[in-house]
Amino acid sequence: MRPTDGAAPFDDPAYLFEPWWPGIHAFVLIDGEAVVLQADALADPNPAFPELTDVAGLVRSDGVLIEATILVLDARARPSADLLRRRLEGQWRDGTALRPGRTALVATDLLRLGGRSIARRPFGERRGELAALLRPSSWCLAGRGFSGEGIAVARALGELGFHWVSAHRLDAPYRPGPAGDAWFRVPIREPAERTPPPFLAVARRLGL
Amino acid sequence: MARSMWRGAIQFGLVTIPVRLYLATESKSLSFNMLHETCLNRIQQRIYCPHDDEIISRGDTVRGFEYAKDQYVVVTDEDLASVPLNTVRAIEIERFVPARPAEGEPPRFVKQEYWVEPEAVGRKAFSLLRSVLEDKGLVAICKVVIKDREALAALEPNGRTFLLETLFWPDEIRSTAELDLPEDEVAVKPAERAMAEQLVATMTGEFDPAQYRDEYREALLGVIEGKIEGRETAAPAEAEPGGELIDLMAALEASVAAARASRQAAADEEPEEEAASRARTRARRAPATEGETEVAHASPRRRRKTA
Repeated sequence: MRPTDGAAPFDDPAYLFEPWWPGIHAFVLIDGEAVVLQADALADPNPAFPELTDVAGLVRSDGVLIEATILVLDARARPSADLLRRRLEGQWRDGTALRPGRTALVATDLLRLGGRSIARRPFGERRGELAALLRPSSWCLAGRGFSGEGIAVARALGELGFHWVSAHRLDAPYRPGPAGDAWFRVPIREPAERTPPPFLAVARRLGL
Repeated sequence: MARSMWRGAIQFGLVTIPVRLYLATESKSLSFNMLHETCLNRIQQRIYCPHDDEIISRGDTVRGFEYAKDQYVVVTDEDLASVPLNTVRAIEIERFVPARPAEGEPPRFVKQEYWVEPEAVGRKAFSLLRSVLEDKGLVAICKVVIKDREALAALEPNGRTFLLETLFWPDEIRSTAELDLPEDEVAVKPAERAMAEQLVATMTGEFDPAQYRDEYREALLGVIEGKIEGRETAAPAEAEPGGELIDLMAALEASVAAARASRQAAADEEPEEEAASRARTRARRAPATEGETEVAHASPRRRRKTA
């Protein structure tokens, strides 16, 4: 599913708002003994992110397909593009430098559960199943979303250094290809300074 | 670009288009030299004749073809030069075929690719042929002699030029008959198939070669550079101190709660009349103008049907 670019943050109770995680888009497939971690543009993500080999132990069910984002966190627990780049460059692998940052996996959608597709179920239900599926850990979590209040979420994310907010329609099924109104990627912008109308400004100056 | 490695002409009926070929690819693989373990000097391979028990020079050798066990016929340079070939300096087009092999046709196994560049006198005919093949979705199957060997090749329009792909001859392609392959009707549960189809669907996208690189070569170069600088290689070190994801989620929740509270406080402090006035204004102003973030006029593009 490919998101639609939105214009600006908005409030809508039909949507779940969460960070647009700045990392590598990935799928985790667990089917019996087979555990496949497929990351965009990486033939094998394990050398760059050796911590991810433990992900199967955190999933409570079998026959699952999870959509997720791989992040590298800095010392303040913020996603770092620089640390991610250093991870991928791999110069640390010769043992002369510390492994850059700490790897984290944020699960954002669940497409199969118990060997059956749940892609046609509403996104809100899929996220509920996803939250129940993952065992608590410090590095792999289901994403935390907030329904309705996109503007407040965007402001909060802006303060944390994020640049985009993701808005998923809660009643939408998963659909391959363009998402339409099921999923938006919205830029976080500072709200425009509101200029009061001239008569209101004069009234305020007069203390009215 | 590097200098051309072949000059000749595309032969097409009575048309001759002078062209040059350039290698389209280059290998970036790392290569190693064999050293003597004790002195670390490069070893030499010498030509040894076990019959006479002596080391000989390359000039003392001739070319032999083994026609039966230990029975050879000597093939001289003159013999090779006497082989009749029509394609010594020509890319001889044999026929035109669809660019993609049809269902059931064997795939075209490529040996080497070359960019084709027209000589000044052949530019117009070159462009004409390229344009016609591109419009018709065709490639030219041809023969060409490169490095004293005749090759089957496909001449395919590519951007403003052609890509000449030398192909393996049919008898050079090994059959799959000896492979232990699963039956067509292998027993697969519907759920297994559905899962595989879903994974394929979610990973289907466009191929952008720029996104891929040889990670093994880069890692190996890192090891080599480390050795040159006197560093010892070792297993990956411990991670730099990094925060926990759970801390980030907590920070996110706290920040959103603060933003909500701030927004609520602003709404509470707003004079009732002003709020009502602004609500009326909002109702009149949908859809949003750029940069505004209020609820009623910050609609995503879907509402403007631009998404």
